[in-house]
Amino acid sequence: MAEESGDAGGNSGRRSFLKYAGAGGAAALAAGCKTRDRQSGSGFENTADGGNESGTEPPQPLSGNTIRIGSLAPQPDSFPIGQSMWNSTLMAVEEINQNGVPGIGGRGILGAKLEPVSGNTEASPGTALEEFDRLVQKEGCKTTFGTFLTQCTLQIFNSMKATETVHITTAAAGPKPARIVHERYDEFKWHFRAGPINSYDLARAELEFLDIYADQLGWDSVAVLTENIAPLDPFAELLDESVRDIVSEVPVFKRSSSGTTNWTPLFDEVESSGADLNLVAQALTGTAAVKQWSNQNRQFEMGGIHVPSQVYEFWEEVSGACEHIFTMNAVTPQTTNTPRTQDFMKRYQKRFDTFPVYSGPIQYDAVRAYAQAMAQWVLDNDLEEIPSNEDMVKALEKYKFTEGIVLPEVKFTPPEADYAHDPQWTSMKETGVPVWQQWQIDREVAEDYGVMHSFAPEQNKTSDYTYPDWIDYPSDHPANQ
Amino acid sequence: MSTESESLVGGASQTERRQAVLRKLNPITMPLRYQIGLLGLLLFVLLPTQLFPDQMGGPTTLVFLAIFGMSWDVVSGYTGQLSFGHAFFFAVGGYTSAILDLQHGITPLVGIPIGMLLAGIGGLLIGLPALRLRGPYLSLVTLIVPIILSKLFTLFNNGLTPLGIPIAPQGLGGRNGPGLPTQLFGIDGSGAVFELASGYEGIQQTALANYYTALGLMVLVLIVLLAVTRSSAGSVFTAIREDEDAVAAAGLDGAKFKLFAFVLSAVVGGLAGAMWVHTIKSPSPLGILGQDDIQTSIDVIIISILGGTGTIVGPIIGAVLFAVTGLVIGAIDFTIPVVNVAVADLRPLPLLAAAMAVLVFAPGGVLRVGIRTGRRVLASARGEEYEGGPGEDEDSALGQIIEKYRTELREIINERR
Repeated sequence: MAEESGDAGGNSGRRSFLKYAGAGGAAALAAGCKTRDRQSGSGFENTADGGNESGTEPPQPLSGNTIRIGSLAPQPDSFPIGQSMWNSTLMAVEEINQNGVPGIGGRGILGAKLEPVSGNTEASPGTALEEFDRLVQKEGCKTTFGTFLTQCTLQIFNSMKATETVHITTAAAGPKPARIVHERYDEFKWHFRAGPINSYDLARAELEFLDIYADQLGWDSVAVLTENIAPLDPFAELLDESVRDIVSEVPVFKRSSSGTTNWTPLFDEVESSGADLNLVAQALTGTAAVKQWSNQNRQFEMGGIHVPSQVYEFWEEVSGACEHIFTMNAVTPQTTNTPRTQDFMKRYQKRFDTFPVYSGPIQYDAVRAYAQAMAQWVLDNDLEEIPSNEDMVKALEKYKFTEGIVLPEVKFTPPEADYAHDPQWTSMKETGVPVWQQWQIDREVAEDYGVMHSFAPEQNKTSDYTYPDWIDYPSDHPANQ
Repeated sequence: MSTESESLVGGASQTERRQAVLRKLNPITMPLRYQIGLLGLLLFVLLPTQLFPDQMGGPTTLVFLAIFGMSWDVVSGYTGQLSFGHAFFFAVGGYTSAILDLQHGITPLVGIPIGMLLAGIGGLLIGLPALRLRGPYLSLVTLIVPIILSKLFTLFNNGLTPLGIPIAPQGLGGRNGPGLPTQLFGIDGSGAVFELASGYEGIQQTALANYYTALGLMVLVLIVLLAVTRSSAGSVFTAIREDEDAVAAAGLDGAKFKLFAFVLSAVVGGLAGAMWVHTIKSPSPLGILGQDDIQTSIDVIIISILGGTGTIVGPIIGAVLFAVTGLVIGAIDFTIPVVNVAVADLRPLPLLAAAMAVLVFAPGGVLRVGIRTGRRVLASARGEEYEGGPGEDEDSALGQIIEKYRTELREIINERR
């Protein structure tokens, strides 16, 4: 009897269990994501006006359309690199909407209105992916611009592939994305980089700079201190291979810890070695190093790749201690990389009361280059609709952008290049970038603030190199010439 | 009557045992807390119905974090062997599978188990010193290990071929990682192991497949870890946390159990790490180990403490709280006057503050507080006075871990005198 009831109970228990398990399974099967309705705008509210230089009515085959573009910037409200990216996107979009694509005119991209949408990557790969997905799928962005860390760029690659979305990198220099585009073109042809030039090219540019200027500026003996963080590895590797062939003496060659706060021991070593220049690469430790170098009146010059010095507010942050510090940069508020650079810088300063970091001008160029490529493709193919993203890849590969503010000519490397879809770059001497910026005092430009002058290369020179006045140079030294 | 007493002493027939198991699994007759747990699981299953595919990244990450939390809990929450660098195991699993795929052409279906295995070996290598090292020293070892691993990624950036053995002929990839491994799920023509529909439908299906795979893994890990920790091995784990000498006095080899806990934890972490890189995460030190190579490990500890250490289920609740807090704070559009900082920019500070509050006011974690409060409410509804319930003496799991740590520290200091 007991067994019978036990069986019966077991059956009923099993049935009940199966019933609930079945309900759970059915729920799982029924579960599915919601579907997004595609965002679409209706373009400009008023009809087109304005014309191009020749006075003829500009073609507007894309009228009535709205194209959303996304900006993927780290902390676009507070972090200078992210702020510069978003602010420059706003400027580029407003200009295109108002005056049309450079060289074509009208309004927007052949009549299509551009709408910018901001995404905040928080400099985290996971957030970058979530924001990319939001911009593309929720906000309906046709393309995205930005990403400051290469890890963030790589994290969005699979989503780029799935959604077939073009992304143009504007602030990360790591070479890996371009390498992947070359190796797995069909999957990842969607990625382009408008700048900066990749870190291997930047390292080559540093050697080229030393080769041309070390002798002129009196740097016979050079101490090399490279902060020990991975993005600076290409510089340390290349300098280790070649710097001794360029300058007479390299008495110190070290990787400084990314946690260095007290520079006295390292500066003592550099100073006692008799080095003329302390060639640094500093991202995280640059502020403390500059303050201590200046306060201690060290008997050597200092510069190289100094990330904090690229920010306009740095002068204020270190109360002018950065005077004479030099750094590689893409563009400075003073340079005329192209005839349009200064106009952009002035308008940016007027509007945002500061100057942009390198990421801003690059993003500005990227948005305008993209717009021009689209317009060109539409006109060349007699289209009356917005080109597909597949076609935009072809357009970006095909056309050259000559209206930039950083590089006189933006042309992406072809798929067969080792680093595909990167900005084409040959040498500093030929292209004029990177520029070598030095913090100087120039009363003609600013009464009570430092000026980010450029002393090299020749075509982007805005001032001569200056020497710290506390160093006692021999009479035949270039400082006294 | 006799049958029931037999079943209690384990002498029951197979039918009765099956019946007992089924009774335990019957949602209607199971205790309320289990029913709530099942409801939670059902919510996890149904969550995607309320979301768009572009919103699925967060929940999928949450599920992975929960698995990582459970992996930490089984060794640190149970045996009290505090690991401060648990992301080491996730990275070993993830990188192994990614490199096998990218540089040796081995499918993730094979690479993932190998990644899991290698993480297990990593667990053995860390677990062995754990037998000799006490509290603070072991913690220091676990803290350093992911940082060393990250340095190795950079050191062998371009190639790892010791003695000519091509382990990673194209290198570990430095800060940017070894590249983009094959995805388990992707849209049609994406080259994924399982290619789904094309277009937007494919994007939806990929997001769902990634989520449900992670969820399936979470349930599997939950069942395995619950089974282990609720078995006699789990009792030994807890005993090790409470009093290692007592375990030895009982004639049990505590070292063996500690090692087992480490390897089990590492295997779970390695498996999840390997699945992670083939679903939603690109392998890179920042992506897997987190900010400063340590953030993920810290997040995992916070999740476990929030939810409740030494419970296995706690980290799931902790991960949900972790995600919800992040969402809520991120959505607050308010700037704190005097300091002029937006609340949203304060992340993850409020979360860390919440973790500290839990440490001080509810060291048992949210799970235990929830169960106790629930019992009190039920008792009061029945008009009874609540006098504590079974398992509540474990409220001090975190307290025990800290006490164990203190004792070991005291012993070390005394030895030095």
